[in-house]
Amino acid sequence: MYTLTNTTTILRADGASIPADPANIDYQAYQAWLAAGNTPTPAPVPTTAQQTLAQIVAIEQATPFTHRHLRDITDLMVQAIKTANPAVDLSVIPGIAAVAQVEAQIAALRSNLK
Amino acid sequence: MAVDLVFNNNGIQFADGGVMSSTKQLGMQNRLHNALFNINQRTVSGTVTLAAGAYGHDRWKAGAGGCTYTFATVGNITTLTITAGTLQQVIEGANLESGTHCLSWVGTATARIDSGSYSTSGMTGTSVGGTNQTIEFSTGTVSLPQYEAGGNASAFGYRPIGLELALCKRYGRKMTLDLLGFTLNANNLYNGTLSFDVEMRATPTLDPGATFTVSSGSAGTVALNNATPRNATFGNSAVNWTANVGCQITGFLNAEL
Repeated sequence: MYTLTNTTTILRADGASIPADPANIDYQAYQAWLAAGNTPTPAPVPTTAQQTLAQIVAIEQATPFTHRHLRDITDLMVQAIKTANPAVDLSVIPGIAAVAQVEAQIAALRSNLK
Repeated sequence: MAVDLVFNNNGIQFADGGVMSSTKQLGMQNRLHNALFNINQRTVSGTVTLAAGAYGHDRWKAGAGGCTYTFATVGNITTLTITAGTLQQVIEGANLESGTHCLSWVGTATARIDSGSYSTSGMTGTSVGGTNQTIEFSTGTVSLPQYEAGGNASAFGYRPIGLELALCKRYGRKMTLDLLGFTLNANNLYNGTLSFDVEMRATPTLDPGATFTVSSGSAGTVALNNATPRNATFGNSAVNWTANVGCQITGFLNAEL
């Protein structure tokens, strides 16, 4: 009648998602169901794709990249490419154009600090 | 500055002749919610057939034997005709004070307070502050139900519909293409948290049947990742979203009694 999930919510057989809140009457019913000796269906084992995605998200969240780091790296790469081949127009690449725009905005703001 | 006040049968009369009526204002005496049956977030219509415990109009649910009813509105007053079973509302104890209360309504239905006997309009019961209380109507017609402190029924107190909706949203909240933002990856959103305009009574259950609407790719399957009485965060348990597409949700969050 109930299935555990990989979060704190419980799935009822009709598809309702029940949070673990003692004030929620659906959760109270679930607790009564447990107290009556019933056992919920275990949470489904994540698929390989789900596990991989979770690992990627965990790495992204754990890695201390900052916006500034990414802008600095992008700027260094752009300078290196332009040095090697001045004819290349990198501004057509959306990400690089966005970085250049942000740098320009920040440079303008910094000028107010002088 | 001294103010001359005269208390009489009309209320409080001020020195300038103005009168502040002593009749109960704005319908706040009525402990029942949605007593005009004008809040219908689940959009029930026609012949409403409810299984035991299922909700029709906001705050009104079927009793243990289910309920079947129809409804019609004339002059802004909705009358329910209960043809089978019972229809009840659980009043949250936080909205009750201890003492005698009077239950009144218009129509042929009979009603009971908690597990008492069914009776006609004007019946009384005893409330205990902080303890939930159930008002239940049996077959017949019912409109303008009112449950108020004291032993006598007063005129039905009308409340503004916006206020009534806010009162109902403490217990249930419809989501209709509510914007959640953009998908981050196959199962998560960049934020995905929906903040409630009215804090709910408890962390809500996500009722069955909720759906996502996305601007491109698979819609996915709604999962309630996390929730509080103030907000809820959603994800896609089917893990099949396209990243960076807009996402909306339709469904119902339920923190009823």
